[in-house]
Amino acid sequence: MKAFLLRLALLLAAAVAPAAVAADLSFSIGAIAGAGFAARDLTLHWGERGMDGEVGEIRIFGKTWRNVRLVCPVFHADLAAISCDRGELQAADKLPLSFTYWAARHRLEARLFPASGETWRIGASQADNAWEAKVDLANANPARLAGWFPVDWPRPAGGRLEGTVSFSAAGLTGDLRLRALAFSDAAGLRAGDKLSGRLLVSAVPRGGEWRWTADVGWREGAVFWRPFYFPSGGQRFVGQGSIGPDGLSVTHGKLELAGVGSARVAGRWHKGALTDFELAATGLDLDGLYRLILKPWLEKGALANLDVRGSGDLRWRYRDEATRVFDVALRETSLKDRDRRFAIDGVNLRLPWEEGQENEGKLAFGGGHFFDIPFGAIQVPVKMKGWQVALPDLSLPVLDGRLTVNGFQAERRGGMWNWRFGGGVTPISMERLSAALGWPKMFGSLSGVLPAAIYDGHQVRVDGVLLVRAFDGTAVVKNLSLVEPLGRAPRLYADLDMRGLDLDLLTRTFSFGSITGRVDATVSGLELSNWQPVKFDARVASSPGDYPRQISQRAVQNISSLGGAGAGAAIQRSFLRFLDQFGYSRIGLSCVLRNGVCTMDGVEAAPHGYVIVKGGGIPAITVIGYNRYVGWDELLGRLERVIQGNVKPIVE
Amino acid sequence: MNRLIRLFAAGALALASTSVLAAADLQINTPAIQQIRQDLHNHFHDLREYLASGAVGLTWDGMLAVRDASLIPLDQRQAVSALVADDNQDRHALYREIARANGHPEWEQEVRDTFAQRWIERARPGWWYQKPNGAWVQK
Repeated sequence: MKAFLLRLALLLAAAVAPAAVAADLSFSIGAIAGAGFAARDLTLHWGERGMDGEVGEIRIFGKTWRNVRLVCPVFHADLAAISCDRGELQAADKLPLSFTYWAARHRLEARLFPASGETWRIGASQADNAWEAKVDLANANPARLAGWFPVDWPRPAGGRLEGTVSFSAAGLTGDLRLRALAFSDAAGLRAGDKLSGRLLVSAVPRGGEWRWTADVGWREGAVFWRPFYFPSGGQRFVGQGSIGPDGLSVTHGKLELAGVGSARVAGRWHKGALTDFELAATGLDLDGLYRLILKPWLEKGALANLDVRGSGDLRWRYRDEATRVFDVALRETSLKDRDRRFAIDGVNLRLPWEEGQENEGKLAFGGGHFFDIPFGAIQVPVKMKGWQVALPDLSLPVLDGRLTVNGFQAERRGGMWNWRFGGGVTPISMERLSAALGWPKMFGSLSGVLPAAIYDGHQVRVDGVLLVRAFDGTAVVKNLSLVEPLGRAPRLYADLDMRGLDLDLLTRTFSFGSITGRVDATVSGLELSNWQPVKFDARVASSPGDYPRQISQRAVQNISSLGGAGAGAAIQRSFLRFLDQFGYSRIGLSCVLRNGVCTMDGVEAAPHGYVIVKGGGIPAITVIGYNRYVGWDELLGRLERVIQGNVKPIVE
Repeated sequence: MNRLIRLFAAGALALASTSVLAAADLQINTPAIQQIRQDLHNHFHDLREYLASGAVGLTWDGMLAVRDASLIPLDQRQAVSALVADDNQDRHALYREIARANGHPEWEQEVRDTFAQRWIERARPGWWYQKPNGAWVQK
């Protein structure tokens, strides 16, 4: 460009010197080219009305303009200088400008006035093979530079720039203040608005690359950089590094995020990928860290909607595209699920993981709750080797019992975490458990043994038999598996076998009326989808053995209600209605659930129905059910009404 | 508008007669499918203005995509982006559950293809959808 101007100046000067303009002068140039620059079809006319030049096509650093016209009403050229005052460059838009070129000093000074109050002042000069250029901006709109950005980069869309950028063979320095800057990529997924701040940058060439330093302060404004959203400023990065054929590197940097804290960072990006990365931060505010950085990654998982309090440290080293060190600490941290599913307080955690080393961390917390069940404090060492994690046997206080976890081991394989553990529950009072869960008051105790629970990244499977003691009987859960437990549609499969449940404890719990005796229950092929039953074969029947068997009139009525209209007619039309307790020999009811319909049966067939309670002793009662097919939702509704006591015994 | 919501959120479930997947019952209901349909219905309440503006469009493979985030106010882009991701997880689960409830988990792709076609057929005028070659078209 300078060479072109120089030649043009000399040409003009030679043509007109030494006198002032006496007549019009016109000439044409077919083509002219230089480094990063080419132009063709140039014509120039200089007369009493000033200078009027046209270029058919001009290309500068890959960008092309056609039919560009420069009009200079006040034009002066002599051997010393060429100057244009109150000129206008006319291309797609009109750009008012002035410039002067001093031939001896090889210096160009130009002032561009794209809009009222907006000035781009450009100075460039060359002396003894050294060149320098400087751009001063006053109220400059950065959107004018958008066309110079690569297509897939975010581009400036508006705002104001003040400051100076200087270039020379020795390097580049810039000091820019931004006001109300807006930028966006084509899809709007990397965008900012109303940004204010300051950018100080310098770079010097060294051995085929540029060494840079930068101080970027983002004081105000919002940025969305999917998946992150920073609603306000307060961010700052100060650092140094290099940029060249090996990519962009940060050798030392300090990043400050408002509401989170500061971190020392370093890293290298090469061919669009992060190859090395190092971060060290202490005293991070976990609330800010969670909301700004972590939450966008958690989507709808169990940790997606938390209130977090506490502080933490992190040291993370990622080299050659793999994590080598990950050392995290949490201090006096509380995590509270906003949906009230769980909370955990007083978490103190240290996990110092280093590749190829055996590491030992520690986990402690003061207590919390899971749904409405409170649990107590625990402190355990955490052993780590590679992607294997092991915990010693744990014993967590839960109400008046304990939950034990034995032999917990987790391993990351193929990008998925797998884990296994055994354990159990030492007796927890059902009275306390039911009160904590807001259930009807239950009696007895809950205890159980879990031989091994195994998660393979897809499903949780219980190997062996899960044994629960409740209602003075035993419940055995076999073939238990849970598919996609954290997915949109978790599915549970199991077989249940319950023996010798005390009906007195059970019926007292649910205000069902009173039944004395014991029952066995089996539920085979149980399948829950989204925690709702879709399929099972269930049967409840009196346990074998010798024990008192009594049923109250209210219980008879309630059982009748479950069986639907027609059941329980026996009591209503007989003298037995005057009695409160009856004897029975067997109770039994079964339901085969398929496609939302329960096919019911009893202990034996009866004319047009089935026997639910078979009489025995004196006075005896027999209850017969006549509805064989009941919708599952209808059955649940009936059960709910019975438990809520909405069904009153009707004695005729 | 309720009619429109039902049309969008549940409409494609009522198409067995013209389904290219005549063998599968696309209206099949299980508690899981019911829950997913309810979630999709709820999402639609929040997403319909973005579908109408063209910020969000229907992809050729039965999902949603943020087509032009610049049409969404900056402070809402993260939420809309998350909602689209959430909705897509539900769509994915819907296709899988319908195939599974039909006793043929391997039909998932066919179920998805059928739904994709029907979502686009039932899209409102002005909504954007994607062609298999990736190009976006306004209905």
